[in-house]
Amino acid sequence: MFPRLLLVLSAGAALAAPAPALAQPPGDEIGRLVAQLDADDFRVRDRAARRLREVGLDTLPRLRRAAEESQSVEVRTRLADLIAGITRPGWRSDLAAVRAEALRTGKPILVVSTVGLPTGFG
Amino acid sequence: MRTVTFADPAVIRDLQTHFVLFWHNQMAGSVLPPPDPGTPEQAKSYPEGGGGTNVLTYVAAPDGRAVLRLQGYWRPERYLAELRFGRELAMAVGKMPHDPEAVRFVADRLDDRARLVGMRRSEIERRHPEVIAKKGTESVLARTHAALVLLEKTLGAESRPNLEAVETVVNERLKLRVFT
Repeated sequence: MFPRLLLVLSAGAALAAPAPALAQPPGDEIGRLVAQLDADDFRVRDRAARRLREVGLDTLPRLRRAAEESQSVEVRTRLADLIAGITRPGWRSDLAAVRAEALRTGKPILVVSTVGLPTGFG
Repeated sequence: MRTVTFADPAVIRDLQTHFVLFWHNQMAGSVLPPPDPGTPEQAKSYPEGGGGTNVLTYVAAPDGRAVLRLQGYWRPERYLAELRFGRELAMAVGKMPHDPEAVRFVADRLDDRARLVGMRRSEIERRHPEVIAKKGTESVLARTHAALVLLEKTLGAESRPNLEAVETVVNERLKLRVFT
């Protein structure tokens, strides 16, 4: 009875509640790092890209906006690479490996079955 | 799904954090061309739950028993809510032996959820009877109503994987070759 009640309550809450807001790191830091993607020094560009990758999903809205606004083809390309890397959820196509990892980690399996090979999976 | 839902930071975070992800190509070995994914703007106006079997989502317990099946395209908020429900169900099932009781447990939870979705659908119909006649894309309310109708159906008894192994579920899709 108890697990059933929990699931029903959770179902109700999930249907009613919006997705939780994401915590944002300091905007100044992201802005500075995005600007550094256009630095003349390769090491500065590389360090900025690495730091943005580390911060990960929290940088996404800023990176997307910067990609739209940037006048530099190089910066837009770097931002596109960064966004692609950050937003790759980690889809795998080897079911045996997926089964083994799920058993090892105790995580449930999410299967998405699509027609064709849409870009962005993998 | 790709341009809207799977590009949403909250969805990506949820997938990365809580699931082991398996992507399956229904067209492996087929000569059918892949569908045009459309622009993000086109994708945003696509009715939720639409797309037939072009996109199917399954949630399975860590031991591979499938507990939930969702059909079609869903926007991030509703997709996340269904994934949370599926995840909790999958984790609960993961602690149970594979027996008729586990199958009944899942069926009861899905019945409860379908009932909950049905109540929301009925409430919209009671307050706004005009939405029933409208097409799914004509207003936000009509879209919500159409999505709830499809969600209720996809949670229903005919769509359930009934704790079959993910391999079986996925291979059955390939055998059917129903591309709509």
